Amino acid sequence: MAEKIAVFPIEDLSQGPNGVDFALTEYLEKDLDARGLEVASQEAVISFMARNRIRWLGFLNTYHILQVRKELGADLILLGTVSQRSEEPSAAFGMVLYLIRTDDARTVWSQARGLSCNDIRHVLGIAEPRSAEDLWPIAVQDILENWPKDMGLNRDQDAVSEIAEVDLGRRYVSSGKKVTCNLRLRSIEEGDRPEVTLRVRGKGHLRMKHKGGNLYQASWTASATEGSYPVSLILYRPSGKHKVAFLGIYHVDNSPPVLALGIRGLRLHGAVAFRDRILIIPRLLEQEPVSRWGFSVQDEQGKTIVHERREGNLPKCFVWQGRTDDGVRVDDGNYQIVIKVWDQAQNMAVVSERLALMHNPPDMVLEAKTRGQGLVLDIRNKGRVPIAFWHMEIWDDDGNLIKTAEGETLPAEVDVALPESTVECVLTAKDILGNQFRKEIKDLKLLVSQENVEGTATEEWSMEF
Amino acid sequence: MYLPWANSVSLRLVLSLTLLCLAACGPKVPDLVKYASLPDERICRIAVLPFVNETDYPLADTIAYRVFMAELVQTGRFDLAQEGDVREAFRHMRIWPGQQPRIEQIKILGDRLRVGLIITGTVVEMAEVPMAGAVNPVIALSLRIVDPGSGETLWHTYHRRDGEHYRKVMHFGILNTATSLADQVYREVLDLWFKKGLKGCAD
Repeated sequence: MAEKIAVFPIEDLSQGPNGVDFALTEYLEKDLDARGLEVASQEAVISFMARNRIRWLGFLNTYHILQVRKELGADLILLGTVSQRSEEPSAAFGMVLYLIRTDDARTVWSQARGLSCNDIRHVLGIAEPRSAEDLWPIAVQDILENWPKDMGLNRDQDAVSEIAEVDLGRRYVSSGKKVTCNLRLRSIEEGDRPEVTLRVRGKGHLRMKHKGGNLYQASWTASATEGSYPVSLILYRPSGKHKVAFLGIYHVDNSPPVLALGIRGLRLHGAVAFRDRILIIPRLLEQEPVSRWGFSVQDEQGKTIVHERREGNLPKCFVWQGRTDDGVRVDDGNYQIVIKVWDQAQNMAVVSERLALMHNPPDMVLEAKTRGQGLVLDIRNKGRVPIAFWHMEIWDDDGNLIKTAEGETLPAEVDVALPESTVECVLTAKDILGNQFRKEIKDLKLLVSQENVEGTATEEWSMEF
Repeated sequence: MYLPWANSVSLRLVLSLTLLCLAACGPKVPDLVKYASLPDERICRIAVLPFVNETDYPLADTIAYRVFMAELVQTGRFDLAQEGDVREAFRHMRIWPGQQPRIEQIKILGDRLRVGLIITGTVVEMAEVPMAGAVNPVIALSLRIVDPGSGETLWHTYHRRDGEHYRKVMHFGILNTATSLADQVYREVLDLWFKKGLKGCAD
């Protein structure tokens, strides 16, 4: 009796991931028919694909291969893929064919062939192929010349084909949490319903409950001991045979992530001081996957002014620019950043750090006293942030620069010999956070006389530059 | 003009040595790195995981995968896990297209598919370079043999060829299609593997 073969529609990758070439499929069917094989009709094959929801071409799983044998009565399946088809710059065609034996779902033969117009040269160019349409029949015939004569007799079918879907739930859980396994088996005949049990870490036999149809479910409590827990499935058939399959692994994790913060800034009075932006770098000291994280900033009253929460891994850094969630700039003062991280088992780690936002200019004081024929200018910093540098220029009425002085520390004294005319003084300074200060005094002598008389100075303020 | 020294043995020796040195200067492919020994027992059943495409060539991963599977079947030495079973296991374990499975997933695949070895592959380069009315296909592949018990790579092979490499005389020998080039490349890789100790059912 002739062997029966089912030719599945040939996949054509030149048309995209799921392209199909029905002309080539029909050509193969005719050729195999001519070789004495009984060929299942294309309608029957397509109907089979629709019934079994086979949406992809070029491959089948063991279950479907066995179903082809059962539903179509086919001893063999031919699958094929057109790997390339092009016309420019020279026509080319490539394909692969696989022959599968259905009683043991084994691929018994296959061939690949690529052909280009440049591969075929005839004398005087007579009857040379010019296009992919000319090439593919030649390529197919080349392949089919090696059609196997003997299909072999190995009948063992190994893969666990009964499992249609399996879901072990979350990969990471903490102790005491429920672990649930849902399983859907392929269509089972009445009288052949297996007993389905699970083994966790090689121990115990947890019988799965039948939830109707082909659905099974089992739940258990995660152990108190941290570690990996492999889960295996055992199918006991009424015939007495059983099959074991490894379903997956879940992990029991009770330890929160180990989190540290790296903040670049100047530490002043127990807080990290900054002027307009601060870079916060979170670091997991032990690398592990992160499920979600939260970042918040609280003011001195404990009110949350910035809050962000996201799923997924921690970002490499956070930047706070001294503004609320609405973009409003906050006042100078002390704040607290809090970062929370949850691992895959929902264990939480929290770290926090105090920040000091200081974006006001330095609080500088300039006093003048007479000394002999000249003046002594006393410069002091009343603020909390140390000065990085200061610079003073003294000009006369004619615009001549009388004196300059500068330094990196305060308090400082500057001696000035006073001319007869008006003397202007400009003092600039910058603190170590970058806040800037500028003060212009139109007449230094007035500063002296006002201080001597009233103990206060008249200053002319100018805008920060 | 008669050059009495042109036919001398010494000149021929120098030319041969020069050619030998030039050949030795190029990269030696296919290149095989053995990280660990293969299992002592014969491996009958193997699984080939879907390849990863690192090129711009559309569907290079599927093309390379199908041709490799065909070449493996042709050796007649192995029972291959069905591509459909492999893809179904990937779906169950939520391994997305283009992703490589983790070590613990490799172990699950090995058990589920009942295989003694797993082969993974990456298409590093695939192109068809136009050349005066023809194309010169280029392919570079990275293949790994993985132990499904431990999930570790045992052997790693890199191979690169272009169609022009196989030119013999005039236009003869040149491989003009990516499919035929891939087929030849895989044959060379498998020849190397068998020579270096990979054994199948029939060995």
